[in-house]
Amino acid sequence: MKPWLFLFPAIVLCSASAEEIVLHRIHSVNGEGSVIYRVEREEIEKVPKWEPKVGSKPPLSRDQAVEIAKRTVSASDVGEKAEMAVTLETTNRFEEDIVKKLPEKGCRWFYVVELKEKEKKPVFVLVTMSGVGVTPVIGKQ
Amino acid sequence: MKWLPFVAILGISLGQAMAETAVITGVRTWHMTDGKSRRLKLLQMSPDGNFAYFHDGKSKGQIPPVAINSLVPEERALLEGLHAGTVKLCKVEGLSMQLNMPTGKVPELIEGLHAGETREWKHVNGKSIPARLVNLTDDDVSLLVGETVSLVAIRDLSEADRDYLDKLKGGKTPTASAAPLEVINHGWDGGPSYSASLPAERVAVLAEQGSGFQKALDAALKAAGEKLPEGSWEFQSLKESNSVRPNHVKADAKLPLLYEATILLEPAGVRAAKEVWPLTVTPDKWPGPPTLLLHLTADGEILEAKPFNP
Repeated sequence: MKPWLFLFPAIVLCSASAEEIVLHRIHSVNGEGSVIYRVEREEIEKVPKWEPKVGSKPPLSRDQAVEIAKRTVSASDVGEKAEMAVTLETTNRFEEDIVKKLPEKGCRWFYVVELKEKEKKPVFVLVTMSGVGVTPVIGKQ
Repeated sequence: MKWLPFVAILGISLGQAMAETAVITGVRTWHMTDGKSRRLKLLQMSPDGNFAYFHDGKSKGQIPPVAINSLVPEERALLEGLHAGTVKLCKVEGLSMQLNMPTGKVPELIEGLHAGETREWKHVNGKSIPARLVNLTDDDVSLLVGETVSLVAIRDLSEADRDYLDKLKGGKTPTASAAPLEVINHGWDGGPSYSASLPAERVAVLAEQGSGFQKALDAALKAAGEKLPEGSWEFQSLKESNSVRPNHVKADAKLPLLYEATILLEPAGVRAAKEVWPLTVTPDKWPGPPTLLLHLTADGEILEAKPFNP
């Protein structure tokens, strides 16, 4: 028996656990495409369900999300003086095709951190409540 | 009497919780333990809290650092409080806190003075005078009547005046000289539909405050919970970003962070929201789902939207 055959189940398992799903999508104004944020399913499942209530803090703080976002992007794109906008949000329930693929358990809330250096295009990072930062890809509508 | 110590502890804790941070201008006559005194403007403390840096209003730079143990106990305690954070230096923009404000008839200076609106100032002896505040220190106020500036000791002012000055230093009372600054303008479709403003002093205080994400989140959820029927709304997002740069605010001046809460509405929620926040609910012909926006400050104040007035 060839030794690489032993590795096959492990490869299959690894690829299965790294299934990526769309957590957030922003449609372009002209309807030609959209901005998509994909995350690994297990990152959503890792953190227990959280719903906003008075006095209930999100599993990840705003400050932690900003730190993770800064680490995720290249230092050449964003300096210390970059302007910032931070949004805490959840998957839009009207995006039915996305919502139906989300896991039942886990936290569907996330942060989107926008970092903008003067005279440069803004950089966006989605940060999951498990603390993973992802940058968007351009997808079809 | 086993419960007495607990009552005492409770009393102390409540007292501490209720004590507000004192705000000082730092401009005053400072008294040394050797009996000398000097009118100085406090600039800052050394990182270890053992020295204070002052300006005497005359030298080109600050005077040599002063060891806080060379000051009388009352003033040393004030500086220790400043180092510990229980006392703060006033940073209200537009409030004049000069060391040497001229007095007497000063027609040539009037244009450059940051004068508040005329208000009735009352002396402890019962006399009152309509005047405009032009300068504030820890010891006195400079009041403008006509073209004349008069210096009045704060201890000679009524309690109501002293309260007013405390609120002014804390950024809680607008100095009437400064018009509110527009910090938001928002349009539902096409041009702007509404705007919101804050007093200049609040803008300055909030700019120093920085992020208040959790406070804004709690305030938005509390307001929605109180004003909208249960089950008629769903919290969608909270966005933190800089306010728009108000007119007359320098290009390099720090801006306050503001918060925009997006709340999705069911029909009952739309009806209720239109009663309370008519301008910030999506218009009837809005193509997307009915939504309410709440605009908040970092300390949880919900900004009042007014029809946009260019």
